[in-house]
Amino acid sequence: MNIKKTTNTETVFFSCLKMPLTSIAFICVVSLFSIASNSYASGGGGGGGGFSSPSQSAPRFDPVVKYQEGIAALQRGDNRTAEKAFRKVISVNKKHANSQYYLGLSLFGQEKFKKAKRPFEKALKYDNKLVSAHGYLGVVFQKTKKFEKADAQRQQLIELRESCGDCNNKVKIDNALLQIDGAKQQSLLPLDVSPERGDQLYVEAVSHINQGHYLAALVSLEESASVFGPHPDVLTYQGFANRKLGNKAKALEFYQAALNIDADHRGANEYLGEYYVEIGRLDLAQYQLKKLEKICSFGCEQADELRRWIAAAS
Amino acid sequence: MLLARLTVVFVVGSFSPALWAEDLRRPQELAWFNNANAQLEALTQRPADCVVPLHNPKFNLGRLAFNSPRLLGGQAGRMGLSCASCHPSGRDNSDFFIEQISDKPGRADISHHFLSSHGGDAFFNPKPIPDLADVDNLRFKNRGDIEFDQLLTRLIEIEFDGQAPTAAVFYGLKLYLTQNSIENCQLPFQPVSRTLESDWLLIDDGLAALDDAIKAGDSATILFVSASMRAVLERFYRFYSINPVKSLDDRLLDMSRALESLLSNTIKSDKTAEQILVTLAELSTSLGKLKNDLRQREAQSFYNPKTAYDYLNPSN
Ligand code: HEC
Repeated sequence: MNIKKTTNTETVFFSCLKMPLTSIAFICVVSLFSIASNSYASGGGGGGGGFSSPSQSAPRFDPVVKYQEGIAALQRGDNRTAEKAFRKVISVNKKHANSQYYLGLSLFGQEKFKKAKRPFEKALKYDNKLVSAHGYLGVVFQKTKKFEKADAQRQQLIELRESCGDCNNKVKIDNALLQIDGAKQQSLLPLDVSPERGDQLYVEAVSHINQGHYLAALVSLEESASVFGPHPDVLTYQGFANRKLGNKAKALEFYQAALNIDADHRGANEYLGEYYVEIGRLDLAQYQLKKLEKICSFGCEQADELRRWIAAAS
Repeated sequence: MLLARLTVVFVVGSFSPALWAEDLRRPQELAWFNNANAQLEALTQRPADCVVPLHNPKFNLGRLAFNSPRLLGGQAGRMGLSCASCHPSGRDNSDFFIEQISDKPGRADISHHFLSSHGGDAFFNPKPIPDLADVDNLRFKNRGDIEFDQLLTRLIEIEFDGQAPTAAVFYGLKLYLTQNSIENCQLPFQPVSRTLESDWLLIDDGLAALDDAIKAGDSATILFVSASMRAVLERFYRFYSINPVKSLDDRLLDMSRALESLLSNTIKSDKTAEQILVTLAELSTSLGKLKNDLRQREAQSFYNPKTAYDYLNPSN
């Protein structure tokens, strides 16, 4: 075995050690910090784009960046910037319930109640369980004097409360009901939107998927989506879990949404291929495989797995 | 970390896809550590070997398999992990850290549901990554034991969701792990430099293993070896991404394609073993030339501690 010994690494470390004590602390801490914010990755995911976790790859995707920009603007009370950002996200993925909800919030924050109505309604169309959207829509109806419609939102919240049993959404539902009654101001951002939490939810979701718990996975994925916006890794697994639950049309929609944001997404291309195998379209599955082979110039697990699917079905 | 990065994006005001395309090419091992010093060490150093190489192509096959992300499936395979990510040079890795499967550096929960679709458990119970050369006395004593076979099978197929390896790959892995033993450690007993030369050893392993598998007509093993060699080429592609040279990139990509077509030739055509060996010899010559040219640029790659340090510490 050919072992060459160079001393460059040592030089770097030793020069760090040889510095006067105060500057060691400073330079070494600064360099550590800069790496923590630059190349450090939690590495968990890769269900999609490669080796990174969703938080690490997030800045590669315009809609995800815009989404985060919108959330930051909402947090500092800059509703106009938030509105612009969420409109951009929606122009790429109009079925992203959380983006519709936050667009509603940014309009609500500007007291544009009539305009806020539609995005809240759309948010609920794509995810009827978004409790806060029911609350705000109810308030919008109160403010625009559509009392019957406000009542309808109240009713839906009560139904959600009944069907959820001991679920941890109960407090949120009660708050939303109080909000419609005008008794309580709901905090603007009820969700924990830290990227660490988003990654954690994503890992939770993948772990659920690996155990075949697809409904639980969808819950974690939805929460993760509320942190990251339309992130292709998350969308891909939303598609995957829906496919496993037999919701084929929904699965296809999610895969396409992921590919719309990142056409070369390895996971989305692989799972779309598997979907084609399942519906008996081996020709389209082959097309997906060809695409993956091109994306993975040095080979990848995603292409290998799809190849096995096609071989098993042929 | 993300927020810090996003802040930069806000300040600059626009998003630069080119920057991120470059980042995507960075060495994958950067993702398995939580600080710059550990990342730098992983790129430029490795533990000393405790292996006496055998003059047996199955040994080469085993060493390549141990370093190949193609041996693992599921999330591990998708992340680019190999056995050697946690056990570099067949040893331990006291800095390894992946947020959701580690609690502290050097520890991992390999039975986590995140990694395994059919073997995981519900507990988060990371364990220290053992030194497979038995420096910590953790090693299964008898590598020839049936129990050891079962452990290996479980690791590959259950914990890491891999496909069942071919008989030759399995045998080779055992051979490599048997040779990896505390009695065989090279002195001085300290980390040594990781270089183009030391990583290229895996390409030589692949060539020896291919020669053997072609002669044996073992197409499943040929498939595995060429896929593994392509993964090694990807490593060079990433290590040279810091100061990329298009002609070198293109040749790495060409070699990857050549390996892929060698494979399809073997499986699809009615070429004889002799004819395929001629193609392999040509490939081997081209690879040798490529290695020489890569060596000329090694100082500009991540193998050079100074280059890697500057990349990892951009503020300096
Ligand atoms: C994510 C990190 C990781 C990867 C990847 C990994 N291991 Fe390990 N390995 C560990 C940890 C942690 C343990 C200790 C497990 C325990 O104590 O239960 C271990 C234990 C072992 C042991 C038992 C100890 C001994 O010496 O007998 C063997 C053998 C082993 N690994 C071989 C492998 C092989 C072969 C691969 C690739 C197929 C592999 N490991 C991949 C982390 C890893």
